[in-house]
Amino acid sequence: MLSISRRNRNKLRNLSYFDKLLLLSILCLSFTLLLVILSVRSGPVSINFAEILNILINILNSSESTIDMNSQIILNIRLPRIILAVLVGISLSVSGAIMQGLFRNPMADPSIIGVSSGAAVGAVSSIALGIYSLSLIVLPLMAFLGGIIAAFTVYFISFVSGRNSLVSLILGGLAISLFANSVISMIILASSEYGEMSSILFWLAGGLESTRWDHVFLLFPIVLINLPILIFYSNKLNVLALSDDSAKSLGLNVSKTRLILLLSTTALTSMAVAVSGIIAFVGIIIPHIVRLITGPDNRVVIPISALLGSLFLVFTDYLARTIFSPTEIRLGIITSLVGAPFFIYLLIRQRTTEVAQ
Amino acid sequence: MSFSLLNINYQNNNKNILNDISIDFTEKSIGVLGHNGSGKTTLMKILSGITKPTSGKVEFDKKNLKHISDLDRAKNIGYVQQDREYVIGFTLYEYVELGTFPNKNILDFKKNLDSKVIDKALDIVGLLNRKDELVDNLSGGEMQILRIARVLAQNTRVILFDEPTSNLDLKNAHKVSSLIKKLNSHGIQTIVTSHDFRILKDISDFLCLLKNGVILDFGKTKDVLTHENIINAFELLPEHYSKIDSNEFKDL
Repeated sequence: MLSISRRNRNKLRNLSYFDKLLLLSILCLSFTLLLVILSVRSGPVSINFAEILNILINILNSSESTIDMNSQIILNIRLPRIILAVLVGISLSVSGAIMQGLFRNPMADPSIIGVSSGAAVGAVSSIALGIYSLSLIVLPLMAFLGGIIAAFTVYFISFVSGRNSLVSLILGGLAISLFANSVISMIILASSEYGEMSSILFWLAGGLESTRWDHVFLLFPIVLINLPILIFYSNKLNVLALSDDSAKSLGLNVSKTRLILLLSTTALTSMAVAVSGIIAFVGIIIPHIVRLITGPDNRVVIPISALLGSLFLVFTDYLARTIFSPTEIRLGIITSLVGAPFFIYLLIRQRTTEVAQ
Repeated sequence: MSFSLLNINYQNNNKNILNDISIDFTEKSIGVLGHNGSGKTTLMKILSGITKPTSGKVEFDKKNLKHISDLDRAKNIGYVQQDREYVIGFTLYEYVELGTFPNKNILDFKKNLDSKVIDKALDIVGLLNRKDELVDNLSGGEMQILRIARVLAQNTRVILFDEPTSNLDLKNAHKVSSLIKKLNSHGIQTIVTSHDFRILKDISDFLCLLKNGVILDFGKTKDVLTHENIINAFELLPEHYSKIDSNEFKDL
């Protein structure tokens, strides 16, 4: 059984870079499209396809008569939510794939190394301080600030202070996450209003249930800028798998590349956290599945992770809305329930290969 | 292709690693012999351009190495070294492909433009028939040979080898040294460091003797490898060098 799957995998791996990209993109995109259609349809209020089409045609004709309830549900609740799921999926899985290469560590992921928690602290502080109402971008900016502090701290732990090992990165990330979570708990305990408290709790296990178009408009430009940058850098990320000296001897400016990748992924992660809270483990599950299929070439892994990541989040969000409908499960809870066992499995496998070497 | 070093100094933590080194490396096959900590690795890093000297000037093909762009440098100078790499899950082919980086254009969508270069590099080192295997299964010696293939795929005119045979068993060490000689015959300049004169005596036509960051001697290998030079360079005491077979110098 194992040998058969290995042979099949090799067949796909031997395809040229472009063929792999084309084949897998088409596959992911068609499944995503199917799921999007399914997601728009389903929910506490079921709306049939003819009506959905009708509503969409109405917007295209820009008629003003789209104020009935069903079109409100589609246009202002479901559509932004699905689009945000796509964007968050892209942000988290691409960030994970990049961080694994950047830290030369298969267990790196925005939530595990503490960047997500850092961003959450930033977002929560802006609420606690009451400055988030000044402008729509205050909260995301604070999230980015928190994310950057966490990212550079873990970077320092992992590279500057001694050898970059699997354990020091994970322990460093754990320390940052614990610290961030206790700051959040402190803020929750200090807050007197119930409303403020529950809106802060939102960041600990993220979800998409309160999505508005504003959220989409915040994350969209960040993805639009950073995704092309990261795809362009995927070739350089490949070379970072070698030692720093070898990468330099291949003509790569190692510290500049690392800095750009770290800033870019932190921006993506922080903004995703700002709009959806912490949705853990996506950045570790998706790139690992992609690498299993395509091999380690980041020129394929990065774009396909983006596509599979959005597919995955649209799917899990669909589950979150429908399993116990009309009650919702938090999306972040589902990804953690799936992700934590996967993470443990990877950790065990990783330890055995390390021992074997 | 030629290197020209002028008054090279290198300091690390206020310690002099290289002391005012001036030398021309124009020969095809050069060895650098020295004790551990003599500054061999630093010298190689400075030649490869990845480390800048504290003071002094390196010229490559009469151009200041400082003013050659990273990518142009990588198209001309390859560097084989032993180092920790995170390449679990790579096939041999995918690993060697990393060497094509300086010559690769990411917007190049043509079907595996580099595959000929990669196959040829794997063929030269004798690993072509295993190209779809994972590097995880390679032994240390095979990994070292694969590293050479990666640098070959870089398609450079000069290849620097830092201690290419240390940590290898006799069979693999022999493979590596005959590979280096093969590269010379293909017109590639090789500069090889070692702390073992027995290896360099086979590989290199010319030898540079390094001690505490200073060049003791440079010339044809057989002229440099004298009893006195070795004793001086490695600070051997009589009880050490009595164990070295003096015949080893006679047959040079």
